[in-house]
Amino acid sequence: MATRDRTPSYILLKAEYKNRRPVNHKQSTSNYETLEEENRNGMIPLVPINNGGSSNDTYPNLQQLNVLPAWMQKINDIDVNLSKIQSQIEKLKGYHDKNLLPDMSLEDQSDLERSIEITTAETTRLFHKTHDTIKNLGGKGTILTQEDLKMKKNIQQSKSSKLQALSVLFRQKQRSYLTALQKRSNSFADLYTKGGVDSSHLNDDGDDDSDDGMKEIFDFTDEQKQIVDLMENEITARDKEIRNIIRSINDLSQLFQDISLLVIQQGSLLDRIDYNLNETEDMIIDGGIIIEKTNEIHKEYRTRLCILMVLVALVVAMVFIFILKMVF
Amino acid sequence: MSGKQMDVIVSIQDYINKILTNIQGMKVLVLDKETAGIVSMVYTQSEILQKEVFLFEKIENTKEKMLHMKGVYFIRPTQENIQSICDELKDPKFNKYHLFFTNTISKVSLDEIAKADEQDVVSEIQEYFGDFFAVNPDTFTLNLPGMLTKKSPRWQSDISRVVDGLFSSLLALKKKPVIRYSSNSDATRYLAEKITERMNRDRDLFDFRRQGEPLLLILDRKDDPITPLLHQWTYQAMIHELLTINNNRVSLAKAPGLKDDLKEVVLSLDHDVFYKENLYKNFGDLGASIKDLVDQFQDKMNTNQNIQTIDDMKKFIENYPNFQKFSTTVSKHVSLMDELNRLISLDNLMEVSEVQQELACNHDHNSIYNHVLEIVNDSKYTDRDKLVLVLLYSIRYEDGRVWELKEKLSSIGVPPRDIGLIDTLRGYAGASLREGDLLGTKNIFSFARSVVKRGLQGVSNIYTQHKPLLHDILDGILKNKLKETSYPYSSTTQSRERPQDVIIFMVGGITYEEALTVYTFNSLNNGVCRVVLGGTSILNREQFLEDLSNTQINVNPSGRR
Repeated sequence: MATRDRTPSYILLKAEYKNRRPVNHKQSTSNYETLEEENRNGMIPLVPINNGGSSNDTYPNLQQLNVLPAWMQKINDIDVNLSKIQSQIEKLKGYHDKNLLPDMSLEDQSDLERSIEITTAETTRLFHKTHDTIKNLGGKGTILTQEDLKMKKNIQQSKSSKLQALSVLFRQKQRSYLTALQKRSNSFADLYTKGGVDSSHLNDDGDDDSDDGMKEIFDFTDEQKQIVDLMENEITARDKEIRNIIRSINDLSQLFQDISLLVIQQGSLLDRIDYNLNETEDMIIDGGIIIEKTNEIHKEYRTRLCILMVLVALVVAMVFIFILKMVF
Repeated sequence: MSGKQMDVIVSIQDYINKILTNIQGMKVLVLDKETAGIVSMVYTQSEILQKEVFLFEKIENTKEKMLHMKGVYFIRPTQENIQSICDELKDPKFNKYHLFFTNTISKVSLDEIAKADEQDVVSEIQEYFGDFFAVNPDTFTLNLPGMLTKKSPRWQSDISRVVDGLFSSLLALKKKPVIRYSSNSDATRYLAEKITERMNRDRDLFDFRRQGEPLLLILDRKDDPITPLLHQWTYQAMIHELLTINNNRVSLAKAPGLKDDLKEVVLSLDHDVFYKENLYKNFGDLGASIKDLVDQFQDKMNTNQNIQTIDDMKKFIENYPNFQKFSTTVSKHVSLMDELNRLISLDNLMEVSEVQQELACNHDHNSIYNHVLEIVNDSKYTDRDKLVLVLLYSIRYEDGRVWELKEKLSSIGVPPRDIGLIDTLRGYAGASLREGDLLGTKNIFSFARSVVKRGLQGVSNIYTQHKPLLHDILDGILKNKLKETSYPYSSTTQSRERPQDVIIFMVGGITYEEALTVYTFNSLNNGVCRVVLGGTSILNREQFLEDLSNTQINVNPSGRR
């Protein structure tokens, strides 16, 4: 993979040409060099006011164009959001791991759980926001040229595929965390049932078919209390589950949205650069042909109109002459 | 780099990657007609989009002003390209111009650009030597058909492109080789001289750390005219033979009853695992692989239909893009196989191929003559196949009964122009013009050996028993026994060691059968010797016959004069 940098010899050549230009440009050269340096320092490139003279009148125009169009400045926002999401996911992963550690005082845990919840919500919000920004990129109120449109499409594609990758990552992290959590709570429950000697057995019986349990055991009030507790527990668990499901469905719908934005598949014909380039070229050529045709038709129409006009004039003249002849 | 193996795909990818990662910010990638193909073969659009390239342009198109973007040009240093850059620099469309040329750029061109760059927008000019089309990791082409001989009509216009392409491949692979060429060929000697000249002129470029003495061997297609005429039975070669692969794209437009999105398919080694794994498999094994693939797909289908819980659904969504990709892969390969199968049974290619292989490998003249006659007389075979059989026969038995077969062909209505190809082929690659031992008959020992070998070992697959001449040449290289009289060195410094890295370039074009030969050789001699194969084009039968008939046009009038 050899390469050769021809920039130095090019700069030499260019310098030679500059020296050959009229003297009053010399100052502008140095002017340019400072600008060059500014550029290297990462400043926003301005159009250098060098060269002076005849081409000066085009500059105001250039200066306007050299700034990013407003709609494209949003790309920066998207990038910032994307990196934010990335760091949020990292953070969340840290929390998850911590939360899954077995020894943990209850207070810490609830704190942690809260922060997990907050981060998750924040991340989801960011996802939504970024998604909206991408979707509405260059949407309303901006006039886009043909090239801009192409560019917009490409930007949307690249950014949304990034977002998509992130969202898959996020969801994977979440899912693995949830399954781990579930496993742990199951094992806790196991521990609890094993540890809680007789009463738990009773509980189990009561759980399986509570009617029988009610008839068999005479200590009604206690039993009833237990059943009520049990039912209450069950209800809260169910409630939680339902909420979970609703949340999952929401997640799902968002995921579908993400997919819908990203239609182009890796490695397909639509993903070939040369294919797309040729397609554009063909379209341009087709457009040219159509324009030419239109032009021809237009021209034809004009000549026809001319002929018609001449004819009409002739007829009028003839009629006129005829009348004149008739009169005299 | 030093430890890495030679890999043409990776070297082009590295070039592009280096260009795009070194330039920060939003970019427009400008390509010309050829580099568009070169880049497309190793990168997909979505991969490049990830590198903040937001627009692709062709250099010849007029562009809109986009002064907030950087223009990254990856183009060949042709006169037209330099001209259009110079025109554009008078009224710059981009904020900065980064010019990457795929080959050495002359001082004159550099001067022209410097003169045109009055507004100081060109910020770098580099030479990145990606001036060839990487097909497989060990195969590249220049997409220049019609370069069979120095007399071919396109030779004059395209030879400098051939020199450029081969030269750049040496630089991309970082090799400073000794050059050998096929001694009986003007074309290879000419090319060897040109490359030596270029290497001497740009000596500073070849300042690599030495690791052994690499070899560049320039061969001529005429030494082995049999290989491009044979029917192929390995996947890649078959597709090219029957459907034609063009820059990794295959058109299925002629196949009946296909959906629109399968009219043209892409076969990329990086994005199509199935293709990568089955590229070199023969037709029979391929059928088994396709069946496995379809079974796998069926399995996945079933699990997907079986969605019951929210969790299943989530899993489904996570896997959905993969599944989707898998399903397009399946339908692509199934329809490819379908079409291949259709063509094979339509033209009875199995039978034809059997006789072809016998012609290429057997030594029994009488029986083979009868077989050829049988096929020529049978109307179920295409005229093309009959013609090719007679061509093969005429190479194999130059003094045999070619005349009778020619008569026969014209009596069944083959146009005289096509029959003329038989003489053209003899004029192009007759026995006296060939270098090397194509038929294994020049040397009594090798003749006896091949007969004994056939008798003792038998043949495992009659459709793929033919080995191209390249196989023997590679063997010679490995044993360091390549004759100096047949393949002389172009420079005086002669190394006696066996080369570790070999670049073989074939004037007139290579075939996928030879690509397979190189692949097999490389995997057998991993770590000992690695070969990269390049050619002016990748031939299939049609292309070879067309190139042949083009030399015919050129030869005939001059013959009359």
